Amino acid sequence: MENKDLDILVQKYVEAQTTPEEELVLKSALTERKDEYDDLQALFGYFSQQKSIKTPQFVNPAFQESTPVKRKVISMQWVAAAAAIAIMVVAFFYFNQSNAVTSADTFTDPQLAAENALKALEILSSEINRGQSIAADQLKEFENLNKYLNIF
Amino acid sequence: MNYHQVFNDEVFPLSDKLYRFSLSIVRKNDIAEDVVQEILIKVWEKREDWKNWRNMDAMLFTMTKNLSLDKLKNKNNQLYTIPEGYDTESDSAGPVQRVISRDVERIIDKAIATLNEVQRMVIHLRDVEGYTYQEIADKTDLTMAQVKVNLHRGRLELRKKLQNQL
Repeated sequence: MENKDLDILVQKYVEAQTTPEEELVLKSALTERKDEYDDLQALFGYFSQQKSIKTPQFVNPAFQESTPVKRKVISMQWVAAAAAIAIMVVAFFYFNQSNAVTSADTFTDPQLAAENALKALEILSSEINRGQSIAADQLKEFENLNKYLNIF
Repeated sequence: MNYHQVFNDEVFPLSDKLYRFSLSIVRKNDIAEDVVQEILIKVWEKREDWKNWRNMDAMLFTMTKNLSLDKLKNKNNQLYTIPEGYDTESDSAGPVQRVISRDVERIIDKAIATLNEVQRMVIHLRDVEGYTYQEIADKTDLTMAQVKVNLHRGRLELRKKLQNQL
């Protein structure tokens, strides 16, 4: 770089009119010149050194503050809704069951119904009697066996 | 808005730059450290307001500037003697690539210490951090013209002092 150009660039720099690119050109031009611009060369060296000074370790306040754990809160509205559903389900099953037990009337004529009921009862009593006579026979057999056992 | 993510991506990584910026104003390591830690906490606590901040980066620098100037004022009021030049780290503190000798560094430190706070901070933001004039104006609450005038006066003053001593 010509001396005259360098002088102009130095002047621009001091007047704070240089662009970052021009400042880079100035710095590299000064490294080749070790005479009248010693002060500027030392200054640029000082500035580059300042950027690498040791800096302390800072505490990060965002890390210090742990994120609060959100407690799960179940609102009363949901509890009420769940209870209402449970009651409805229980009620549904209860009424379904009682419907199954109650049989519908099959006879429209009361006399016919009475005759049928009578027949049904007769069958039931004859069956009971049959069961009783069988039981009485079996009991006799058992008593006989006991007699023999007593003899021996 | 995910506050943790925004803070970890956009705010916390700026800590080093904010520290150097504060150091350029207060010139004491421990004060600059306090300033930046205080700013980080304040910004995190004000996370609800972030949506109203036009430019997070500029806001952080402006807050750092204001707090640094406050601390400097308090210290001066307490007749605290600020040593000439920066309070630099010792050799064992960390690997700093040396471009200039310690003697030259001390001379420049002293020269910079004679500048006013505004000149120091605009020179730092331009020559150390490489921000544009407009970015510096946004970060310091100055107009672009004020940024350039302070840069010009600061650089002129520095050259004058250094030409006599180097």
